[in-house]
Parts: sequence; structure tokens; C-alpha cells
Amino acid sequence: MGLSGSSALSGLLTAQRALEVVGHNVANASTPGYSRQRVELSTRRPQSATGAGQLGTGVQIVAIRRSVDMFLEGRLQEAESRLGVSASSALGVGELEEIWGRAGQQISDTLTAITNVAEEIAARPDDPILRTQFIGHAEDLARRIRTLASDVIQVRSDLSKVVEADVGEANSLVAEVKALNLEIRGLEISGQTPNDLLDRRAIAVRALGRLVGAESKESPSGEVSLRVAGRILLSGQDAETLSASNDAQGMTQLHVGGLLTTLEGGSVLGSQRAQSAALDSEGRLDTLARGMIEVLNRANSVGVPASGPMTSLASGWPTVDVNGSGSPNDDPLASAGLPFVPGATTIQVNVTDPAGVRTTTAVSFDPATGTLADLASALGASPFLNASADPGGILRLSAVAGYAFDFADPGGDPDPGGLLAALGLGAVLGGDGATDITLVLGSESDLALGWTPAPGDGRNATRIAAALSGVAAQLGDETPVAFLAGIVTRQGLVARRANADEDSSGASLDALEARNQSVSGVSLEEEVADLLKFQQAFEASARYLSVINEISDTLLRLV
Amino acid sequence: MRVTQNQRTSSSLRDIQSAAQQLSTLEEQVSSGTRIRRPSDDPIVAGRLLTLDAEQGRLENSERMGQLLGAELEVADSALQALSAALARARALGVAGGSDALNSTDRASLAVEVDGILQEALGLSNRTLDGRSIFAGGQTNLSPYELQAGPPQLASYAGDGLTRSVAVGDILISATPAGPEPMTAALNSLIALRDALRTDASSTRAALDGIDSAHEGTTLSLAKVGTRQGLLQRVDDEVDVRILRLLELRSELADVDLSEAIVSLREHQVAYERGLQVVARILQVSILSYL
Repeated sequence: MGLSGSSALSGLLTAQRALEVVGHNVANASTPGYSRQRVELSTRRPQSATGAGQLGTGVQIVAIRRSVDMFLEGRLQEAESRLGVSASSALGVGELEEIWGRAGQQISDTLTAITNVAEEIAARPDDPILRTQFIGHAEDLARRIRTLASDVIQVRSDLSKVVEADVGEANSLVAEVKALNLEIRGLEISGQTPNDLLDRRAIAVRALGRLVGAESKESPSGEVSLRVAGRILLSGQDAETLSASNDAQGMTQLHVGGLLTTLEGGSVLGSQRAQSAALDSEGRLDTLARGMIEVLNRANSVGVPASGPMTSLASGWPTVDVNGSGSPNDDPLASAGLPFVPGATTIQVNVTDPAGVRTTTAVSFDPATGTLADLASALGASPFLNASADPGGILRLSAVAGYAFDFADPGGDPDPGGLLAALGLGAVLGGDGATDITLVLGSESDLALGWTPAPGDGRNATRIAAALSGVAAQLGDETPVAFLAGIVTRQGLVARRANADEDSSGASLDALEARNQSVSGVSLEEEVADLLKFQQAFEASARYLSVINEISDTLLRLV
Repeated sequence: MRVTQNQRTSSSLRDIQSAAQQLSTLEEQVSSGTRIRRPSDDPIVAGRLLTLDAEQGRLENSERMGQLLGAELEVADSALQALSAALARARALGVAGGSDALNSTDRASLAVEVDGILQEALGLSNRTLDGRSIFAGGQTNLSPYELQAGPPQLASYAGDGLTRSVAVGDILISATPAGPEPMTAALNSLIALRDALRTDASSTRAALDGIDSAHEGTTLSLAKVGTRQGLLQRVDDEVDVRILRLLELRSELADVDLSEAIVSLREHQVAYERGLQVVARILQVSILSYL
């Protein structure tokens, strides 16, 4: 029987390799996504010894493996996808909430101020300072609504840019996974375990989960395939490209390989949801703006301007040639492209003669059948009033020299169909929504404050104040402030839900991350223990070699 | 379960961040005095605050409107009281002038006095507030009453009889009498008395009926103005109460209980500092320290 140093040598080499693995673990203890590696040891193939059974030949490293739990990795990817949605959505709706919270208060204050001034004007209609204040507040109201609309649209636009950046990052990650797939497969075929590359690929796959809610599946060959909302993103070496585009409303859409895809997770979906919330609030703001335009214009159209009855007037909204006849004047007004559709109505046409005597003619009109030309004809039938529909779809009214006209009506519901306001006659506010609402009233003396030309008649100002502070059918039978408060409450609820979702999915991810760390994380205590263990193993093997060496020397001295 | 350094660091950081967030929220609440800094803090209350603030703004404006109306009613009241007193003085002169003991010279002298009262009544009828005629209805830029040259001389009214109203609280309160009554009757009765004094005693006695009737009309108008002043006072008081209730409600909904918030802030501050100390010590502990 002869003593061999091979066992000792295997022990030395194995301990040395194991120490290197420990060193690698310690070095990467803080590396994000790093999975602790461990050596798997086994005995080397034994020698057959004559008459005494098999003799061990030492130790060997079977493999260096990552400590991972595949089930947890899958759960983590799902959690990343959910957190991607909620974090991105919370960011977007949080921005919206800030904007609405600030602007909502300003618009509400302006609404209160303009209503208060209207009431003061009702008491002192002959005070030009109050009228100027009213105009200032009306301009403020329009500007604040426009600014809010612009800010909300900007949020949507910013979210589109965020999506574009996310999509660009996702495409880079897909390319990275694809390259890693190739490298890992090659190494695995050659019998190696590419632990660090597997970690890098797992990090990329998780990031894709967070960005676009990608799901992964590992094939027996070691390649990872990726799917997004059921569509294949990466299979083997075939990768599709993600792209983003905006639809007609400016909402961002995602395409996988050119096909429109409805996402199920990831930050891109979160951004899309925030965009939807923004679009919803834009719609509500639009309703508020249209409501304000309509109620204010309707109230102002049925009074006598502070400067007195008018000698000429032109409609602010032209009719459109919808029926293709070549003229905008022969389309029924209800379908002539007016932004506010008028209904059947009766209006009072008051003509004041040079002596100040007013003659009233009631004009009934049904926009469902009547055209602009018909309306001009009906109004022109009033004595001393000329009316015409010009080729551009504008209604032009003018009184005979020395005469003047107005549409003041002391009745309870003057112009019930809103015909005058729909045509933009006597309008205070122009535009047809939140983005283009604007002050169009020429001057403070155009404010229609009374039902007669008397300077102290403020009855129409009372009507204006009531229109600004009362419930409006256009706003779902709510007052403008209550409608606005409803939008702010809604934004708050949306933001609160998004924050709660983010907290919940964040906590869920943290819990999973903690569990994953307990499996894959590097524990310094453990590594130091291993360090000592393998150091001692190395020292023992070296000591064994030394003993063998001494025995050999003893034997050699006998020769 | 294995516990790694990364886990300990992450968990500690999470705890510290959570404590810092709570601290920051409390700091915001204490410094601003409100617990609603953004709509998501309490969406329902955030919306409610908008409507409450708007209502408060409207009610405060109502108070201003009430002051405006009150000033006008006060001027009207003083003008009508002065007119009533003038008519009483004129009546006394008329009674004296109706006596057969007075000769025409005496009555002419009384007529001069009545004419003076007439001019005073004309001035009262054209009383203005802040440059606006208060008895002209909607024609606030005019002096509504004039004495025509005659004969016979009569008072004319250039106002339009429009009853102006002012919104106070939730109701519209009519402002001053719009004219032409009781002013026209008062002016015409004074003209009639003056002219009767210039004629004879029996005409003077006959003219006293007109003075009496005008005086009754003035008293009636005074009563109406007084009623409106009373109504305004009641509405004004009600508005004050409503504003107070709104402020209370707003405070209940949004204000921070400062003493509670400050105690809570202090508690969280201490907890945060302890957390930092503990985390710093725990993170320093490692097996490497014992090797």
C-alpha cells in the first residue's frame, strides 16, 4: 500500500475554489439582483484496493450553483408588474391631483367673486367700476380654466414621453435578454453554469415585468421566452419590437411587433391609466367650461346692454354648410354646426324709437326646421329692424337710423331654446370648451344688466348672478362650484386609490423581496463561517500533505 | 429564515422612511393648521371645502350688499321723515292761514314759508346717495322730481317707477320707494297750499286735505321702509349666524387639533430619532467585529 497526495491535493484545490466562491459572494453582497452562489461537493471516484475494498481519493466540486427559488422569481416578476402599474399611475394621478387641488380652489374663488360682483352690479348697475370688475373676473375665469386644461393636457403629453422612454428601455432589455439567452445556452451546452449571466438575465426580465408586465418562461434549453399580454415578445432568437404611438385623442397606445396590444401590467399601463384619468378630468372640465359659456351667454343675451339698446349686431358663431348645398344659410340651425345646439324658442325683439318708445315683437322659431335665412326673415319682420344671413353664415342685424333694438325679456324663461346664445349674440364668453374659453365681450358697457335701458335697472344682472350661482341643466343640475367640487373630489379619490395601490403593491413586493433575499441574499455571517470552514479545510489538507511528505522522507532515509 | 445584511438594511431604511413620512405629514399639518393639504388627504372633505368656501364668500358678500341696502334705506328713511316733518309744518301754517282773522298780507307771508317748505321737499324728493337718485326707480342718474312752470304749477316725475331689489342672503329685498308716490302728492299738496294761501282763507282750509293725504302717504312709505329695514336686519343677523356655522363646520372638517397634532409630532420625532439610533447601532454589528 502506498500513500498518495492526491486526496490532499483535491482537498487543497477544492477548498481554494470554495474560498473563491465565498470571496465572490462577499464581493457581491450588495450587488442588486445577485444570487448567492454555493459550491456543491462530492467525493471523488474511489480506487479499488486489493482485498480491502475501495479507497477514497478525495473531494471534488460537482457544481457552483445559484441559490434561487424559481417560484419566488415568478412571483417577484408579477409583483414588479403590479408595482409598475400602481407606481406609474400614482405618479401621474398625483400630478393631476396637485394641479386640480390648486386650480380648483382658484376657479372656485373666481366663480364666487364673479357671482358676488354680479349681485353688486344688480344693486348698482350704473357703477362702471363694478362692471369692469365683472369683466376682469370673467377674463380670469376663462384664463384659469384654459390654464388648467393646458396643464392637464401637458400631464398627458408628459406621460406619453414617459411611455416612449419606458418602451425604449424595454426594447433594450429585450435585446439584452436575447443576447444573454444565446450566451447562456452556449455555456450550458458546454457544461458550465453561467450563474452571473443568469442573474443578469433575471434582472432584465424583472425590469421588463415592471415596464410592460412581461411574463417569462424558461425552456429546457435554458432560454427564456417573453410574452406581453399574450403576445410573444421574445422566443429563442426571434424578438419583436415594442413601439408607442398616440391616437387621435393623444392617448398613448402600445404595439408589439406593430400589433396594438392592451397591456395587463407594468409602468406603461400605469401611465396609460393616468392618461385616462387626465382625459376624464379634461372631459369634466370641458363640461364645466361649456356650461359656464352657455349659462352666462344666455343670461347676457336677454338683457339691455349698459350702453343701451343696440343699433347693430352680428352673430359670433357662423353656421356651417352641413348639407353640402354650397350655402351655410339653408341648413336647419339645430344641425348647422353650431357648437351649442339651440332648441325651439320664442324671443322678444324690442325696438326703441327715437322718442324712447319700445315696441315688442315676439318671434317664435324652431331650429329643427328653421334655417339661418328663415331666422333672418323672421327677425326682419320686426318694424325698423333689418336682418340678413350673409354668405359666411353670419346673422347680421341693424336698426333703421334713429332706432335701436334689444332682446330683453322680463319673462321667467326668456329664449328657452337658447337661440341667441347659440348664435353668439351678446356673448360674454367665446369658445366651446375648456381649451378655448375666452372673454369676447367688447367692453363693460356691453354687459346686459337690465331689462330696460334705465341705468339703474339691474334686473338682468340678478339673472346673470343667478345663472352663475344656480343649478344648471348643462352641469347635471348642479351649481358650477358644486360641479367643480365634484371633479376635485373625484381627483382626490383617484389619487388616494392609486396611492393605496402603490403602497399595497410596494409592500407586497417588499415582502417577496425579503423572502427572496432569505433564499438568494448573501449573509456575511454565513460567508465568514464558510470562509473559516474552507480555510480550515485548506489548512488540514496542507497539513495532511505535510505528514505525507514527512512519511516519504522517513522512508527515503531508510534507503 | 435566513437574514441577510441587505434585508436588514432595506428593512431599516423602510422603517425610517415610513417614520420620516409620518413626521413630515404632521409637520405640514402643524405648520398649515389644516389636515387637508391635497384632495387625496380626504377627497370628500376637499370637495366639501370648496362648496363651503364658496358659500362663505357668497354670505360675506351678502353682508356687504346688506350694508349697501341699509345705507340706502337709511337715507330714504331720513328723507321721508324730513318730508313728513315738513308736511306737518306746512299743515300748521295752513291751519293758521285758514283762519279768517288773518289778512291777505299775513297769508302771503305764510305762502312764502310754505314755498320754502316746498323747495325743501323737492330737495328731499331728489335725495341721492353716492350720486344716485334713490327715489327715481331705474333712472338713478336723473333728479326725478321737478316743478313745472305752470300755471297751474305741478310736480313732474321723470323716474320710471322701477322697484329695485337687492339680494341679501337668499332673498331679494326691495330698495327705496321707486316713486312717483308719495313725493308727487306731497309736492303737489304743498304747491296747492302755497297757492291757496295766496288766494283766501277758505281755499287754504280746502288745501289742508291734500296735505293730510300726502302726509298719510309719506307715513305709509316710511312704514314700508321701516319694514324693509327690519327685514334686512333679520336677514343680516341670519347671515351672520350662517357664516359662524359655516366657519365651525369648516373648522371641524379641516382644521387640525393643534394640541393633539403637536403632541403627536413630538412623539413621532422621538420615535424617529430612536429609530435612527437603533438602526445605526444594529447596522454596525457584524461577525467581522468579533473575529
